[in-house]
Amino acid sequence: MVYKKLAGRGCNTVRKEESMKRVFKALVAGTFVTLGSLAFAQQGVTDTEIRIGNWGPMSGPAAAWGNVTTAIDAYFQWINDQGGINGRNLVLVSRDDGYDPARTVSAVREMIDREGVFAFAAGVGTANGLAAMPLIIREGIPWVGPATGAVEFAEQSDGYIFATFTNYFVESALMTRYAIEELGSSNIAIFYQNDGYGLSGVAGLEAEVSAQQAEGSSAFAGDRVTYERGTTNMGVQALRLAGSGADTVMLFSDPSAAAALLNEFANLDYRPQILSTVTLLDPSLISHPGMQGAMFTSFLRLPSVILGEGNGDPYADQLYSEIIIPYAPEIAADPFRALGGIAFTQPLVVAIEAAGRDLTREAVIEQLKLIDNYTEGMYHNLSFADTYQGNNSVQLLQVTPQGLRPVSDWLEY
Amino acid sequence: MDILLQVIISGASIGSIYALIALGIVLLYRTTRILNFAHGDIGVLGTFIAYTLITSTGLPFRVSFMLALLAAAVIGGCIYLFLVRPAKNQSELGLLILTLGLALALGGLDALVFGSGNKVVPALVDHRLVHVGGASFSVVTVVTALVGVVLMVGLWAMMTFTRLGLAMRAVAEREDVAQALGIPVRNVLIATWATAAVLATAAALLFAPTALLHPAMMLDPLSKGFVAAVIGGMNSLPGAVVGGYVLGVLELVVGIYISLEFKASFAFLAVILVLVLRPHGLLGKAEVKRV
Repeated sequence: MVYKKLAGRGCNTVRKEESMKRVFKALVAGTFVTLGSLAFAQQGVTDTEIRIGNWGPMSGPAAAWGNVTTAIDAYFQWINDQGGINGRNLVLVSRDDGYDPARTVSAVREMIDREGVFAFAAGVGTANGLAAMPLIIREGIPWVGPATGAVEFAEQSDGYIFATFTNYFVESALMTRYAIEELGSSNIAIFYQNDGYGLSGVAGLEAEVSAQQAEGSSAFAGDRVTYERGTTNMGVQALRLAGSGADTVMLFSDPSAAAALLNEFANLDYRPQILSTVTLLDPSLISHPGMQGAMFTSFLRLPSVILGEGNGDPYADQLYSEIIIPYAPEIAADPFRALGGIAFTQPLVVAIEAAGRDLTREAVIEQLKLIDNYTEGMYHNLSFADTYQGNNSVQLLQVTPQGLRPVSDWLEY
Repeated sequence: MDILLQVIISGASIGSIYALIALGIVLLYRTTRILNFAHGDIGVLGTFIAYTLITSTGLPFRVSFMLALLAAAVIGGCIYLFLVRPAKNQSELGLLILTLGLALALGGLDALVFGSGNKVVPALVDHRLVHVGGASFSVVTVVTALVGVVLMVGLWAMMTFTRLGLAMRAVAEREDVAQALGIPVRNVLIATWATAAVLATAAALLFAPTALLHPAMMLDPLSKGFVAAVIGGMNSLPGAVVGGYVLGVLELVVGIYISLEFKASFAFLAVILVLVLRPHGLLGKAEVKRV
């Protein structure tokens, strides 16, 4: 019995050695074949698909911005239903970071290492993007359309980041210019979140006021009133702004803080002209009674569902009806973020298509740099020819009893 | 404009919301020794129920307000029966973690069922300005403060004049003795959780029209409610009310007269000061343990 077992084990050992040799030979041969093919392959690209990474807050305090990711998914489905790009389908690999920068970094790491994404599109949040930026640049991965207007993305692009969101500095400066030149504002105050986002708004206001003063304007930058992210009681801020006598107040905050401030303004019977950054273009805030007459910026072409029948941009209308309504009806009530998701991703899609079938990151980056005075997409004018900040224009919209209506042409910085 | 009067009126308005939150926290803590981190999320859930009733059925806000309070009472009772009671043998730390988990779960549930976008909740009354002595304030502010006061007086009356209140106080004192005396402790604890949930929802319903409704709406007010509870004394219901109003007014005073940047951290500095100088809070009683 024992012998049989031993013999049996001996026979098995011989057989195992033979099979191990075969496996080893196959592995060696396979490795050479794989290495050979890898020399021409690109991470995230197969014969049939291209994997695009993205992150956003699908939970937590900024979860409404998760609609950007939903829109990108709808956009990719729409493209795939038309045959994909050069015979390949676009696959969205997205992660919920809960608006927590630490989670963004681990999500990006995982999407690079495990999911092997080819490029990144959009990505919500300034702090989140700044946290992920060094990793993406170090890995040499193209990242198009960070969903934030912080100046750092274009300034520190290192050739990999292509910003399409008009940055907060430019946005603030253009709002200030419009306030002084068109609205006759003289004392322009600002209510801002105490972080890079809000401080960019302050810097834009101060720079433009200085420029206007150099040309003889008597307008000045009034009180700069801040709040800490996450706080909700804006009583002091409202008292300060009302006491400053500002005729115009710019908002660089989150929607909840803006709503709290407007309620306090109502308590004080203080009604300045409100100029608001695009990040507050939230359906709930637009419908807030305190926002009647307020102006928002937009760096995107907007559809009729936002601007009223006959006022929308035909191209935005087309994307809204062809992509958002059929593919993502659950976010149709939030058309700005929905079309934002498409707009942030569109230049990447254009570049991938132009790069052709032999798709590499280098080829896509090359094609992105060739985008110059591009007016066919969701932006007024997109250009990466000599900058990584592709868009520097906004349009002003005003809240009227009928809804948002455009009140200015496209303003360019 | 008389700034100080304006600060007192605005501070009292937000202070009544802090006081309501603190009352719910203290009520639960002194009865069960549980620090309920899900308190704010229970309030948000109740507010979403009211919002859904307003927008889906067209019910007036006042009716929806009352129905949401009823729903909150049921939710609070169920949380005790199905979550807290089965875990009653856990340590205080274990129960604290349980409420943290519940907070996260309720936040996720709100986002799943009601959506994560911001929503505008109407106020109890229409906005109309009142001018008093150089200060101006909205009727909404006054009504918010008044509703808060009515709820606080109602809670005081219940605790003082009803058999349920007496039973709650007895259970808070010594649960085992209360049980031995024939007090139905389980029912009393259900009522305590239900009352705390009603207070949380009332606070959230009064707060929502001043901001925007979303699943994380009560994060900041809840932290202020905890601060108010500690300032007033974790075992004192009148202390919670005093703590809420003191915090509401002082926050604004600090923001106006000292520094706007310091306003956000002032509340937590106040907690540190109270814990160092008067650990049992302004009106709380020092706990004495026999050794």
